[in-house]
Amino acid sequence: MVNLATDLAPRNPRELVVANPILVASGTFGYGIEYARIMGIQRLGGIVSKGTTLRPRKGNPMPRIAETHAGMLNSIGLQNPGIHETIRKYAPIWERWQTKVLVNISGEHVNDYAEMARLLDEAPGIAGIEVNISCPNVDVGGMQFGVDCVMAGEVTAAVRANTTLPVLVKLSPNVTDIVAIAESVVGAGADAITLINTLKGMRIDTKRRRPILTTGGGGLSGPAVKPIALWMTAQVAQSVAVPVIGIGGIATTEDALEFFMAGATAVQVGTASFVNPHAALDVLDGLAAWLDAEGLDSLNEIIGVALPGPMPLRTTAPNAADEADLVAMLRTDD
Amino acid sequence: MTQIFTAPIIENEPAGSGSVVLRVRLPHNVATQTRAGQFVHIRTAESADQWDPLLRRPMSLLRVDPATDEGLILVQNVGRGSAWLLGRKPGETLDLLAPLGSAFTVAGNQRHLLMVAGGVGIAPLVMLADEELPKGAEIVLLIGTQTAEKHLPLHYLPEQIEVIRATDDGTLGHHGFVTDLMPEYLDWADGIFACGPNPMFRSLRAKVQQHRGVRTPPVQICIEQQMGCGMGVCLGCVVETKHGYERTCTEGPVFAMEALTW
Ligand SMILES: Cc1cc2nc3c(=O)[nH]c(=O)nc-3n(C[C@H](O)[C@H](O)[C@H](O)COP(=O)(O)OP(=O)(O)OC[C@H]3O[C@@H](n4cnc5c(N)ncnc54)[C@H](O)[C@@H]3O)c2cc1C
Ligand SMILES: Cc1cc2nc3c(=O)[nH]c(=O)nc-3n(C[C@H](O)[C@H](O)[C@H](O)COP(=O)(O)O)c2cc1C
Ligand code: FES
Repeated sequence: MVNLATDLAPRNPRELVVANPILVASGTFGYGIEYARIMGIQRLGGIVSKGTTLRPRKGNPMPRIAETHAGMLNSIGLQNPGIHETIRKYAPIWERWQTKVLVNISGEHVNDYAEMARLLDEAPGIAGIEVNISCPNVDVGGMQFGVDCVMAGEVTAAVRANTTLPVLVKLSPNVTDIVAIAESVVGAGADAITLINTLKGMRIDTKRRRPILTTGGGGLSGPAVKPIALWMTAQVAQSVAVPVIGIGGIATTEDALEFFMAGATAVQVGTASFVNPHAALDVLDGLAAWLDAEGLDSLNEIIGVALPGPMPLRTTAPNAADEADLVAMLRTDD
Repeated sequence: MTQIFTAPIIENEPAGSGSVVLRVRLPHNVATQTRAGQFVHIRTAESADQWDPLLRRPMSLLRVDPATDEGLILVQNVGRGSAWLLGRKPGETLDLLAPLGSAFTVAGNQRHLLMVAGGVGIAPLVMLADEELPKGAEIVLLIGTQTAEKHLPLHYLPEQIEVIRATDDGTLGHHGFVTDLMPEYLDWADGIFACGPNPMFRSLRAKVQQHRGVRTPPVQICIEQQMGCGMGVCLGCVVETKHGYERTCTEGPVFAMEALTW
């Protein structure tokens, strides 16, 4: 068996060593306990909790989900019991777990993020913080933190200043230049980047002549978004020197391999868990079998292999001719 | 006991227009421990490596035979997923996640059970009747559909219950809503158990509220709601209750009617 353990926060003295690079994504695996009754969740590399806010949130009115081709839209509206209740109720459980738990946080003000980071720093059982910056900043009229480099950096710095825990910043794909945002949050102290969150989308009920979701639009996820997520992972992995954790439409080992080859150090399985609760474990088992079959001792040998140019974790390079082709290919933007 | 399993299809029988009953083989513990109201979450993609349609479809169990581990699922054709289910053949299999959700609860002193079914909402009530009859319950089942040919063939119902039918168009039984049939049973009933579309619940609530009897029987309803995960994590299935939003897949689908605020 190959050793799949990897450190997702090598810049951080507290480290974030996961037993394997297969995690489950925020909002798609609850608090871990829900799936624990039907599967061996301790084998997962890590679990990212449902997005938590400083105060409890009721969430949006129904309907909150709408199916699309090989995907779904959601506008849950961050329904959650608030950070205090989340810590009180789940941290003592997480503390006993082998799998690493990361808490995903969302805020409306920079101070919300700072306060949550401080609370999590003191809590047991928490391996790291994933900062969701795809939330509207009410101070500046609802503009998202995640679409502006300066605001994204400010949020990251505020979290960084209030915890020594590993800090992962989760990027929104609904931006013009995701690389600029990634560079900005890494500059502000992010230990790793996770991407992507959901893509803004919509469906209309033609009988009622109204959007299906009460909020009009929602976030698209599932296999349908994979090519976009993969492209963004490749872009960001080539630009930052911290681990990149790929998310978006991953349902099988083959999907995960694509993300590793695009430069991801780890991946998160999201919507696929709704369909197949074992999806993340299936990806893990398939990955171990694939490495074995390929005669590889380490995942490092494939991380970023499909990319041109130097990669921080890259140990093998494609030949020069392929490299030139790839550079040409990756620069074509249409 | 909730688990993911492959259920072989034994039979696909037509059951009223646009509906079928799928007879499937369940794992023994699922067959013996699933309670009326709980649901199975079914994948409707062509195979395990297909992801469209993406989400599982929730369906009640109509009947379960613990002696043979066979379960019946009544499927009405309303869209892509159910259409695919209608086309399944014996020898094929279904990918199920089950059992999920809450079940009806009948107290020991509830002997007279009034059941009110709208359309395919009949499924969990038949299963409830199967559970309660051996305990000596007396059951009246009121069933409403749009038209005669949508009624579930009677051989799917236990013989020992009294069945009264209604159709919206008058082609069978009472011409009108199934809830019109309720008033004369309200003094008799120790409990009301219902499943159907939301307008039926509103009408049912009105009938219970208008009732001027010595007592008002408590009502439990099994509601339909859009679902994602079925496991309580996506929060895409919530319903407004007196305690705030609750998950139809976890706290429900069976709720005490007075707990719901709609
Ligand atoms: C607890 C529970 C028990 C149910 N039991 C039965 C049963 O025994 N027999 C039966 O025929 N139907 C039952 N339903 C309804 C059934 O789940 C839907 O008819 C089915 O999901 C429709 O899927 P579709 O692909 O055919 O339709 P589409 O309209 O193509 O579905 C699109 C999406 O909407 C959802 N959806 C559409 N209508 C409903 C609905 N009424 N309720 C919930 N989700 C819906 C689907 O799951 C899917 O995500 C039950 C629903 C619930 C919540
Ligand atoms: C129902 C649902 C709820 C989600 N909630 C959150 C959340 O609270 N915080 C967050 O950062 N991402 C949330 N996400 C986004 C996922 O974590 C993930 O980034 C996205 O769905 C793309 O991955 P996927 O295609 O594998 O699902 C949610 C996604 C879904 C489908
Ligand atoms: S269907 Fe996901 S929480 Fe109920």
